[in-house]
Amino acid sequence: MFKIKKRILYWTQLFYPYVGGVEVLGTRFIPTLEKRGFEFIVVTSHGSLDLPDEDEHNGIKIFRLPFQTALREKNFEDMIIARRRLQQIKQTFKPDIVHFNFTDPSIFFHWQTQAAHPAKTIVSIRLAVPSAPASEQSLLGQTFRNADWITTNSRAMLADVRQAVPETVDYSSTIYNGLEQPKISPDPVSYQPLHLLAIGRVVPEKGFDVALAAMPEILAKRPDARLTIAGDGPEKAQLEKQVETLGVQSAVNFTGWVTPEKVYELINGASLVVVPSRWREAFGLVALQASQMARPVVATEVGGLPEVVANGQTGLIVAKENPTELAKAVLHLADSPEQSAKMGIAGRERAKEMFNWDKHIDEYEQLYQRLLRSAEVD
Amino acid sequence: MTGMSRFMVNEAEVAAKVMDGEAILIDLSSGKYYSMDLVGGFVWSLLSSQHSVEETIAAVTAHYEVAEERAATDVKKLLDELQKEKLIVASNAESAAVAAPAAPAEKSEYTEPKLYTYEDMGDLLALDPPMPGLTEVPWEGADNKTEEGK
Repeated sequence: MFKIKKRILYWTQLFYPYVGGVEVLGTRFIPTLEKRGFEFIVVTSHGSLDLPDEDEHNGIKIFRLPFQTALREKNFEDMIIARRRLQQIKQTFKPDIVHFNFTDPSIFFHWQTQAAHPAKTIVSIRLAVPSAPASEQSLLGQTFRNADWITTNSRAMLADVRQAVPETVDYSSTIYNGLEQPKISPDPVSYQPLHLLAIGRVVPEKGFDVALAAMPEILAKRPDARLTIAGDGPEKAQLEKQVETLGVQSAVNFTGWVTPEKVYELINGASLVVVPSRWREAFGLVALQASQMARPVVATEVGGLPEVVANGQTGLIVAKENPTELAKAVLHLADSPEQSAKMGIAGRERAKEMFNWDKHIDEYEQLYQRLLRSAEVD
Repeated sequence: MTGMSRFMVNEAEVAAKVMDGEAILIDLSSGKYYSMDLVGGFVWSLLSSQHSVEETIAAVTAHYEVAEERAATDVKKLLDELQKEKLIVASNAESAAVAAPAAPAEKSEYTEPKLYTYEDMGDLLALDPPMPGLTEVPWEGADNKTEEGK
């Protein structure tokens, strides 16, 4: 019997050709669920590049609307364009579900155009939102109250959502991020020399300065230690200055920006991975990638990181902003190679079990189906 | 405030636009956003163009299926909120800047005009500040491929 495909309007701040975590996840998420009988379009922004308003990538139809300029620059002309195009897109595509990835306030336009074609709304929280109570006079408060379902990628974020709007306890859940198995196999870990790796956008929130500040203490016990910082960003010049001030030039290497594919290769060459973030990471994708490659992780106790890294089992959790504690944890792992290797293997197993791609997709498919059934009842 | 009171947009601090009948207002100093849906947008367009409170109530009852008493209560309530949020200020004008729209042949369905506030818009815009060249690297570069090599 001919089955009508259910339509999902997938909304994300940026999409192809951008390569942030959410964007890359989306490009894999959509084709996988299309194979399971859903039809998708993507609604997104142009970002900083001069990209066409309508586009296609691997068969996925992309609509780019001027949300960012409208809201950031308070540009009414763009607001009108965004609003009218969105109304038209909704009326034409007739989505059963609008799946909004929350990293920016463009959901304002979704609520403004709900009358054009009412659809169930899933809000997926992709970055830390303020955990304080969110009033009805706030976009966040209205979003959490109006959503049909809210997903978070860690329990820490779920707690924040429920603290912001307590009634969300009835319609919110955690769906952990999932990653496909890396194409390369992990090499045996070497601690001679001791090679530390930190990956991410070089911004103050990532706490790479704390990792640098830990280097003199690490080098005092392990002169062979080397730290690689992979990534780029506005904090880089400041970090390079810090390296000079600390006199650790010969022990620190900046690779600049690396492609997503190269990340696993870099991890494979590392003894362990440090995630010294000082902000509330919603999840901690790098920590998961490290586990996939059987590397123990030293991560800070912020946001979802303690869920991705099981303290004492797959790595060590340390206080944020504390170079001494970070150094101690690194040295502990370096001095206990057998225990560290076991942690790495345990991390790889845990990644397969808890954060696997199929599980992630299954849980979203089940959520879609559940909401579609409730829409039929409505 | 009397029925004859007139108001205008607090132009020094507020930018406002009615689009497709709905109003969007921005407090430029605080970054707060506001919106009003169809009836609200209609009331806003009248009040902000210096129609008196009485004239506004009369126009609402002429355009929507609503009793005058309820329209009066709702318009005054909305006006209070607009004043409290300093979105409009008193005007000395003696007449409206533009004529009220002509009454339609058929009245529309009425819903209470409401002011929706988005006090956290500035905070949410700052959640993920734009960092050119970081999260925004084209895939071609990411894959180390040239345009020809795709």
